[in-house]
Amino acid sequence: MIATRTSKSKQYLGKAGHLLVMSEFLYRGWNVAIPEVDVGDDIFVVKDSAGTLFKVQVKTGIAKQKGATNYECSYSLKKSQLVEPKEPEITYVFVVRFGDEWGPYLIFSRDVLYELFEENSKASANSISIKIHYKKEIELWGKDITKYKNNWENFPIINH
Amino acid sequence: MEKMKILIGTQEDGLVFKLHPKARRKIEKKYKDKILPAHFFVAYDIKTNFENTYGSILGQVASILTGLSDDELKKLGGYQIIQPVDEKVVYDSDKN
Repeated sequence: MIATRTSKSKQYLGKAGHLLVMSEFLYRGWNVAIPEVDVGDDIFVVKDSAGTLFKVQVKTGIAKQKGATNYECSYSLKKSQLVEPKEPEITYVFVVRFGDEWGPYLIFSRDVLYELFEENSKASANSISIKIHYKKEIELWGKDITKYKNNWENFPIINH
Repeated sequence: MEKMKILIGTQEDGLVFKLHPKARRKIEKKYKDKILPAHFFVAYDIKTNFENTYGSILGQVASILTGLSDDELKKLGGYQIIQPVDEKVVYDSDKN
């Protein structure tokens, strides 16, 4: 496991997370693309039959062990991206690496994450710090968010 | 009574309007059979022309998002349209 992360290693980690999430979308029958110009949208996900476009933001982190079975992982988000409504709306997928394995996906619509943020975080800066605790339940800002684990309900498997 | 919030998002190709989750819950509690849109998008082809009419559009946003009349919105406490990043109020139902 990589102990400290340089800027370059963060790019490798971020790209690994993107490709992991893209792989899962493809497995589920959804087409994917990375925009040629990076304007803040990580992945485009398309339902081929209808041409419906979804924007997905992937956040990738490495978990730190806290006790025998507990972990935590930190991420940061731009406040403007989270609080402003967008068309099409953004889905956030949080990816975590536990040692030599990937952990579960945490999937939120922007709306849900915004509401969690508004109700539970006092952050006023431009960047929002997100620390997810992986215990028996998964927690963010003191709230149980386990129900968002592998929450692919908006992206059901498409049989081609 | 706290005013309901409508969030506005600006994009290069238009504006997105969305009820704040608390406002959405307030309306759904009062009007149980109401189906509310997730958001609506106003596209503009020519930004300058659009901005000339921008003020008049803001007064209609709440009705489109909620399907409620001005009186019904007033009974719920009125509303504000805000830019969520800096919380600037761009429209207040009591001041227009």
